[in-house]
Parts: sequence; structure tokens; C-alpha cells
Amino acid sequence: MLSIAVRLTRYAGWFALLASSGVIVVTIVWQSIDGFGAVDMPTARLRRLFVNTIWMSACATVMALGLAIPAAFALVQARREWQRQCLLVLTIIPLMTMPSVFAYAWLLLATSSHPLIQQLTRLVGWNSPGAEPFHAAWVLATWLWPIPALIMAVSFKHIGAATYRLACVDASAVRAFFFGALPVMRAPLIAACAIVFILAAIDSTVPPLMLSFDVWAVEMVAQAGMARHDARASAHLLLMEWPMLVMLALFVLSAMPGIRQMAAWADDVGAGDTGLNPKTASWVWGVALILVAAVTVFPIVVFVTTMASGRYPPAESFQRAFDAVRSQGSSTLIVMLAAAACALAVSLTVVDGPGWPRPLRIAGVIAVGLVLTTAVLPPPLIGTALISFYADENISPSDRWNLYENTPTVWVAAMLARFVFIPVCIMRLLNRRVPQDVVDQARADGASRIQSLACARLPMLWRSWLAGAMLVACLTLSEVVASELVQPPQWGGGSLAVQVDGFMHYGRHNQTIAMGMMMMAPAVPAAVLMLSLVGLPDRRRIIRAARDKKAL
Amino acid sequence: MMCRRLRVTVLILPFFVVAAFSGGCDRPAVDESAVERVFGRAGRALGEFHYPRGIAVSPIDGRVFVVDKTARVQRFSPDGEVEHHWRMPEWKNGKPTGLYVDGHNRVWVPDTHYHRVICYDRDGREQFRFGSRGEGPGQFIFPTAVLLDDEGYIYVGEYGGNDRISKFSPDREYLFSFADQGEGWVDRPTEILMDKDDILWVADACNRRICQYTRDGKFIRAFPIGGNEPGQFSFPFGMAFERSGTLLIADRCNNRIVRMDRLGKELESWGTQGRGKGQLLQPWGVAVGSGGRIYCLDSWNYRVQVINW
Repeated sequence: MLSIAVRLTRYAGWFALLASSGVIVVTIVWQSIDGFGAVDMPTARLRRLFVNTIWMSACATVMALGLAIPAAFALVQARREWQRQCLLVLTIIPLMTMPSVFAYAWLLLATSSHPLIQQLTRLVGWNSPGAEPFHAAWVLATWLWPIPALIMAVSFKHIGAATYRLACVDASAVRAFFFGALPVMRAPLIAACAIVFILAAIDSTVPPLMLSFDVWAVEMVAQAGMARHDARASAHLLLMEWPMLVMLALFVLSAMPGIRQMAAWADDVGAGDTGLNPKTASWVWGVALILVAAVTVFPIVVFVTTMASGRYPPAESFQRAFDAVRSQGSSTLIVMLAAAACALAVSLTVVDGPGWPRPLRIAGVIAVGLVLTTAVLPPPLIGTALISFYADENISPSDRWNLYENTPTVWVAAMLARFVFIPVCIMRLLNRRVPQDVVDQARADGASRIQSLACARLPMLWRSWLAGAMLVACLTLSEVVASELVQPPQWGGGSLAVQVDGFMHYGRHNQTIAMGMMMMAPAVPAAVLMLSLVGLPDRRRIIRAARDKKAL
Repeated sequence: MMCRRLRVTVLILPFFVVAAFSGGCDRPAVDESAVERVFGRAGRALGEFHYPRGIAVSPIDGRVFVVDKTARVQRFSPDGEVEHHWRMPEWKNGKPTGLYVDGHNRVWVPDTHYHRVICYDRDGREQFRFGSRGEGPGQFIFPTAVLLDDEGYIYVGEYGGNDRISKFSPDREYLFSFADQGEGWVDRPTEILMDKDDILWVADACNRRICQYTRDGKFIRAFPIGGNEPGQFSFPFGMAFERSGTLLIADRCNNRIVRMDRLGKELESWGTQGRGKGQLLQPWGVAVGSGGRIYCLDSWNYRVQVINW
């Protein structure tokens, strides 16, 4: 039965993949076929937006690095396992939270009437004219810094530790990290910077909240809304988006050496745990914890203090927020669960092994290529392509209801296209860690390909498999732009994230603050659960191996 | 073994397919018969809209004015032919969310994200502006609604920090604020009207009710409670009086137009959620023109539906 379930899940995964990423790629290519040769050169206004976007994203990347380096240093230098786990949970939370929440918190802080806050904002020039792009860059940095932090921590574990220990011979821990370890981790660091830059460049929710409207992504959202009524909407948007796509492609290429290097670590099972480092003072972890907690927990602090002085009592505010989000909450929850389920199925399509037939292995590579392609596409292009196919082509098995208008299918497809690359990459990489002799033994015992997948590979991968799906669910909850474009007109109440983001544009309001906190709440247990699924088993194996080695 | 597998697969697969397609429901009944015409579509060209959020009809010549997220105010004939347009002086921070046309054919625009009110003539020539950002007397934070009564007094509703209605003299001197405390404390007043009995009607959107005040700002009553049952509102955004005295309300999140009597009783409603003719998506406003025509600002469908209802 298990192997039948696995087989059916793989079929469903292919179906979901083709219905999401496949449809997007085919629609864009199909609609563009007639359009090539009519590439729009950006107008002066669009060129200005493009330059603004590069500037803002570059600042966000630098600031994110500034936050990430001390956090990464503390992550690798934590003297106790529980310290590292605490830091990891705090590091992961921002990634699983809606970026608008961070933007709103900074907006509330900047518009606070508290004399001390006003003095501080005046001191740093927060409200100086023309500072809005820096505000947006800073908020993006506070959202995206976990990416370089985690990449640096993993890189240190695999390649930086040896150089670091060597440098520690006659340098302080901090100097050894900065001048010994970081240069060795150059390629992954560049990859991390490229990822942050890309995510900052395609984000269109933070800049408007920080009053930085002159960025490319914001303009493209408006264009996507108007392209809906164009017969070749995807081509229209693609031809407008080509400068951004070229830039994204360049950044992806620059990140490839680092990504390849990190992918190779998937085979390196016994990579060293840094363990206790006697050179690092224990206060280092404390300072890093305060910094990381301050950045991560900062929105909560601002929300609580603002709500305390607001018009409605907190309990009433939460009640009003709950009433307001009830209809959107249930439809968003359904889409989250559906996206997570589809992510589980899709990520199973890329799990194969050396003994599998060549066509299936090629299919797995194609699946990875599809999901990575749609992962770097800007959300407006994803939403427009899906609407073009499902709505305009009236794809429906029935006359009585429409797949786009009456079901969340297109919404789920958009979320898959945006985020399924995460569990797909996780499964693809971790599958390489499964000992081949275990699989060979199963095959020798008469297990088929699917049975060996179900009974030999999956038991070793299921934790990461679930963690990837959980991440997709959390990111689905936070997605604004793609959700807004593809919300079904006659199903459910719409996206919770879209509603909350909309409210955040209208100043301080206790109900909006309550909504922001509700949006942040799932990230905490999700982060803890993810770590318990992914972090501990590997660590236990490493510690056990070290202990066995010691005994020998 | 193969036959068993095949049987199980054939048995289970259809359920999976059905489950994947589940959630569909029959399309709700659509009342197209009331729709006289539809004008506007998505775009930035003349006669096109990008998420329109304010509509008003001139009581003098029946011209329809619409403001959208391109920060343009467009003027249409009563039949929906675009005649003229102009743009707000600034729009980087955001675009207006309301519109009002007074008895002198002047167009009042609460310039929401610039915390001021600008008055234009019907051709878009600015007459004056007033207001600045702040919480003090005569200052605004996110003004959303404007009204000029028959004596020339100006009422401005705001929210996002102030949550009140301020009254100004005909010379735009600040007089007092009301609806900012107690039972009558508004939360996002999106429309202000005055009826023949000099009672102010306020669409108190985030409190999901309609409030009544005297000219002096004294709270009279409020109705009804929020929800999506008949008689309940989910964010009432726009309002307009019909000649018969009944009130039309754009019930934004319930995607319908509600007709209500002066006692707060819902008489009937029109519109269902959707993109077709006779359907609405997030209607931000409603206005009544000559001959009883009702102009429904169908915001997320980027259009105006003119209904005879």
C-alpha cells in the first residue's frame, strides 16, 4: 500500500508541477512567439525605476550582510547546543514572516509621537527628504538577513572551520573569522548576496509601505493588473520585464559557483561540527543573541507598545482583527494546506537513484529546471501567466463552474510556482546522502524502484520532506503580490496577507497591529518544528559518530 | 499482483482527481437585467481605470467624476463618455480615496496620502487647498471623505491616527471636530452625506455601521452590526441618497449595493461577487445621477456599472 501511495503521489506531483510551473513556462513562451522582435526599450521613467531598484537592492544586501555576519559568527561559535538552537529559531523566524509586518513596525516607530523616538529618528535622519529608498532597503535587510547568516554558518561548518582554527593560533576569534574564514567562504557568500539582491529586487510589498514607490517591482504589479485584459498578457509583461529578467539571470549565474559548492556539501555527511571553541568568550553569544532577538522580535515590541497606547484595548483589537480575517483566514488556510500537500507531491518527483531508468532521471532534472525557472520569475509574471491560461482560456471540466473563478486551483498553482523550489532542492540534495548500499540491499531483496523509494529512501528523508512542505505553507501565508493577482473571484474570502497588507497602508490602527501579530504568530512554532525535524537527527548522528570514534 | 495494483490505482485515482478539483461551486445567480451600461476598463489611457476608488456625480449637470490609482480624476458624461481628465499635483505617496462634487460644480478631492483637501473646478483647475499632516486642530491624517453642506460648511472625515470628522467654516477656518470619542467614535469614515433634515450620515467602514450626527456633531444613532447577513455590512464604503430618500450603500467586502430606508432597514440588495456583468468586486463607491441612474464603482473590475434598479 505504501508503494502505491508513493506512486500515486508522484503522479499527483507531476500533475501539480505541470499545472503550475509547466503552464507558466508554456504560456509565456507561447504568447511570446509572435511578440519577439517587438521588445520594448524601457522609457526614461522605467529606466529611472530600474536604477532605483538596483540602488535599493544593493543597499539592502549590504545591510543584510551587516546583520548576518555577527549572527553567523555567533551561530558557529555558540558553546552549547541549546544556544545554537535558540539562535537558529530566531534566525529562521523572519524568513517565515510576511515582510510587510517588518515594514509596518518600522512605519509605526518612525511615526511615533514619543519624544525620545522622535529625537532618535531626527538624529539618524530617518525623515530626511529622499531617505525613503534607504528605509525600504533597511526593512528588506531586516527581513532577508537570515539567508546570508545561514549560508555563512553552513559554509563555515564545511570549509571555513579549518582555516578559522588555523587563524586562531595567533589571532583573536573575531579577526580569525573575518580575515581567515570569510575569504575562504567567498563563493557561498557571493551566492548569498545574489539571493538577497534578487529577493529585494522583486519584492513589491515593502517599498510602498516605506513610501518608496519608484521601484521596478511596484510598477510591474500595476502593469500586471492592467495587462489582465490584454490577449497576450504574459508576453506584454515579459517584454516589459526583460531588463529585470536579464539582471536576475546575471545574478543567478554569479551565484552558481557558490550554489554548486554548497550542493556538493550534500554528499559530505560527516562535515565537522564546530563544537566547543575555548577561544570564544561566552559574552559573544549573549551579544549576538541580543542583536538577533532585537531584529527578529523588534516588530512584536513595537506592536505591543503601540497597541498599549492605542484607541482600542488589546483584547478588543484582537477580536476585531479576528472578525475581519475570519473569511480570508479559512480560505488562506485551505490554500496553505493545499500548497504544502502539492509541495510534498512535487518534491517526490525529483527523488530518484543511480539504478533508475534514464528517462525518469531526465524527467527529474526537467522538474528541477522547471521549478527553478519559475522560482526566479517575478510574481506579477507568474500571476499573469496563470490567469492568461486558466481564466482567459476558460479551462474548466464543467460549464457550471470555472477552475479559476470557483476554485483555489490557480492560487495554489501560483504558490507552488513561487516556493516549491525549496522542498525540491532539499529533497534532491539530501537524496544523495541516502547510502546507496541500503537501497541496493532493498533491491536485492526484491523491492521495486518505488518500493525502495518508499521503504529505503523516504524513511531517511521524511523529516526534511515535511520541513520543506511546512516552509511552503508559511511562505504561502505571507505571499501578497501573486495571491492578489490570482485570487478567485467566486471562491473564499481572498488572501489574508493581501488584506493585512492593504490595511497597513493606512497608518496606525490597533486592529491592523493585531493582524500583523497574527500573521507573525505561525512563524514561531513553524521555526521550532522545522528545526526539530531537520536539525536534530543529523546532529545526533554526528555526535554519536564522534562519540564512537572517541571510544575506538 | 499487477492486476491488484492496477485495480487499486484505478479505484483511488478518480477520488484524487475529484479532490484536486474540489471546492468548486455553482456560479451564483447574476442580475444583469438592471445593468444599463458599463464603462471603463483596466488601463491608463483616457477612459480607463487603474483601481478606481472614488466616484461622484455633479448635481448640476450629471457629469460623473472618478478618481483612481493613477491619481487621475476623469470626467465622464452621464452616458459614460470620457470628456476630460487631470492629475493630482503629487501622487508618489499615494492616491486619493474619495471624491465629492458640490452644488457649485466644484470637485473636492481628499488627497489622502498628502493629508490635505484640494478643490477643483469641473475642468480640473485648482481653486484652493487646505490641510496639513498632523493631529492638531485643522490638520489631517489620511482624509478620506469630504462634504459641503447647503450653508457652505465643510466636513472632512479622516482616519489612520485621528479617526474623526472636522468641521470648517466656508472660509476654511477650523471650527471643531466630532465623532472622535464615545459611542459615536468613527473608525475610517469613508463617506459623509447630509439629508434633507440636516442629519449627517457617515459610513463608518471599519466599525461596519452607518452613523448619524447633527450639524453640531452630536451623535444620534448608529446601525447596523457588521457581518454578511441581510441588514449587516462588511465595510460600508460609499453612500448616496436617492430622490425617494432611500440610501444606497456600497458594501465593499460583501460585493453588493444595499438599499436602505431612513430607519436603517435593508430593503434590498443588488450584486454578487464576480467579474461578469451584474457582478461586483470590492465596490468602493456608489453615486446617483440624473434620472435615478445608479453608478456603481466596481473597483477591482476597473469599471463603473450603471444600473437602473
